[in-house]
Amino acid sequence: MTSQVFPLVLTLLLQLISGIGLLAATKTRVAKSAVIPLSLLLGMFVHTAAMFALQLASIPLTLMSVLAAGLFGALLCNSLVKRTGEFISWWLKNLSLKINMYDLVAVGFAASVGYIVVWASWYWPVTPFDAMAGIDLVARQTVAEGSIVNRVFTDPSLAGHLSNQPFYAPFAMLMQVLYRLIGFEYGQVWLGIMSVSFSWFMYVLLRQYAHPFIANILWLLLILTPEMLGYTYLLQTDYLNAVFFASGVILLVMHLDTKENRTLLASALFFAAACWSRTETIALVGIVAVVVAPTLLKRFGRIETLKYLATTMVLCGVVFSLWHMLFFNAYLPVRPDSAAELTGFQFDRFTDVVSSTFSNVIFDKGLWGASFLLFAIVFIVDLVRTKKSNRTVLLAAIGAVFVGLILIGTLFTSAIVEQTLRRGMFKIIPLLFFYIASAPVIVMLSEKLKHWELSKKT
Amino acid sequence: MSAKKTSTKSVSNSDTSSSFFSLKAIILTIATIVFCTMLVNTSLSGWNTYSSSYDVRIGFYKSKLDSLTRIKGWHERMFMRHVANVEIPKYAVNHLRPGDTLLLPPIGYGNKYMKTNAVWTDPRIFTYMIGFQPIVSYADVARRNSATAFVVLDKNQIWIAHRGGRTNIDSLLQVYEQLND
Repeated sequence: MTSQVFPLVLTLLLQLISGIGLLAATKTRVAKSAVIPLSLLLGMFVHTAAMFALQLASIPLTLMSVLAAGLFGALLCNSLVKRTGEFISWWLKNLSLKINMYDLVAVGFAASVGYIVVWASWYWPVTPFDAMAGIDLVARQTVAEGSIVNRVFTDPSLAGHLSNQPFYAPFAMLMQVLYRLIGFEYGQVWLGIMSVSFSWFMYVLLRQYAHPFIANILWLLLILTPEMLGYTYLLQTDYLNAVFFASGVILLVMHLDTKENRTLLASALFFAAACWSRTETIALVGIVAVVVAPTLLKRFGRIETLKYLATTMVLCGVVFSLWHMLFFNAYLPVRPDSAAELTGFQFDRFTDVVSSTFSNVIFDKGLWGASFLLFAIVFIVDLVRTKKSNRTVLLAAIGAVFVGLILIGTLFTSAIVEQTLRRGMFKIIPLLFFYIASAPVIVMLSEKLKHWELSKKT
Repeated sequence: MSAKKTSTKSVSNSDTSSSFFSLKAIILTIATIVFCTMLVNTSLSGWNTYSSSYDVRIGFYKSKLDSLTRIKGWHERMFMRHVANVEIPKYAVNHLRPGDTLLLPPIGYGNKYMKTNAVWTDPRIFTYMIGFQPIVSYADVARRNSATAFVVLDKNQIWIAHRGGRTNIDSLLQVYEQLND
């Protein structure tokens, strides 16, 4: 264990520095307490991209080379030194910590959950079938051979049996390579770290909109969402994809909400990371871009909106093309036959997918606890009270993901509602809680609670 | 690029400057404790699904943390998680003769004798559990005939059969075929 400590700490530091560099380069301004978790998440994306660059350059993936890649990534992200300097001085200026007694209870409880999540991701071997048959199978052989292009793709015993599992999730595969090289027998510790980072970010986010007491309650409900909780330490690509995708949507909405937040480019980066974590996400990002475009046009005007949408789609396109086109065609000896899984649009299948998504997934409270119910209540109350919603972009994004998942379920034979779409819903859950925390009725309740808390009378 | 207007009000934590130890803070703290306790400890006649999920995913590990952490071996943990799916490939490989090619049975055959899903019959999982070996999947019709070793399962028993041995391979292959989904 001790031999893993130094490379682990170094890796996390390099990822943090990379992320800070990217936030600085994009002139991002978020709540100061969100800088560390957001930087770490972005840094993980950068580190895996740098490792992929090593692979493209045919440099063997070893512990030294992947750490060097992390260092290179950190230097590159911080190449705009002046911006990094400005960002750090903004970040550290007037840094303060305000915590209430009830925060300690919520944070303490969540920390005990976080401890088990990180412990379980370290302790247990990789369990999900998809990971063992795909990303981790490739990752383990990559550690042995020093290359992603390895025996998994050439051995006759696996020929014709690879399905699509090894092909759609470069981020998780490369993170497994990294952590296995560091010395973790099962890799996947990064997943626990990622879960903690995202939860931290959500904690900061919810408190920006709702009273800390309400935010704490919502935050705990989010963390303990039954179906998602297990995947915070089980290696599947859906949870981490949800982390990146939801962060992208949230940063976009935050930018629209307040003048203090400058998060548009960071949002584009997170969308690109989402595509890196599951390549088919580019379709969902495309749908989101289309449905939010009218609101963005109204708010920013044509040029600024086009700039943002173009940046997002180009970044996502580059990530997608590097993996799916360049790497598959120029490096890998075999390719998945994705087209064979594609079926034409059949109305019967579409209605089946819609009805089973509602009956077997959304209405199953065993999967989501109170998430959808709370969302529905708050949405209806707001609609009745105000006759309109001021959360258009957020609602449009939630709707877009839902429609996108239904289309994926309809068009791909391998997409099973009770598995693929169920886990695809992970992308929506954090957005539901963001909606709830920022809904006018909750903001009103928050104001009342704040006045009560600050008033002299008990 | 900046927003032209601020559309959503928010209650920032920094706005609240109540005392850490005020009576109201204590009331909210007690409310939070009650909420956390109820969330993970009461099932409310099955309505609170957070409780059962927490028990399985977090609570169980919390209660067993000491005893589980004492199990340090990577292979032991692998066995704890995957049981027969790691043991059968290990056994099979240890009992192969030089030059053997092992035919992996269809999953239906494995499932007949196992409580868990017999994912080891998938060549990717077999390889994941034990590394690259001379194996051929039952689904690989073109290479199936090259197999020289066969897995035989019985109640609590496993052995590797070869042609010319005690086990009638043709009968075994018929059973494989019958259980091939």
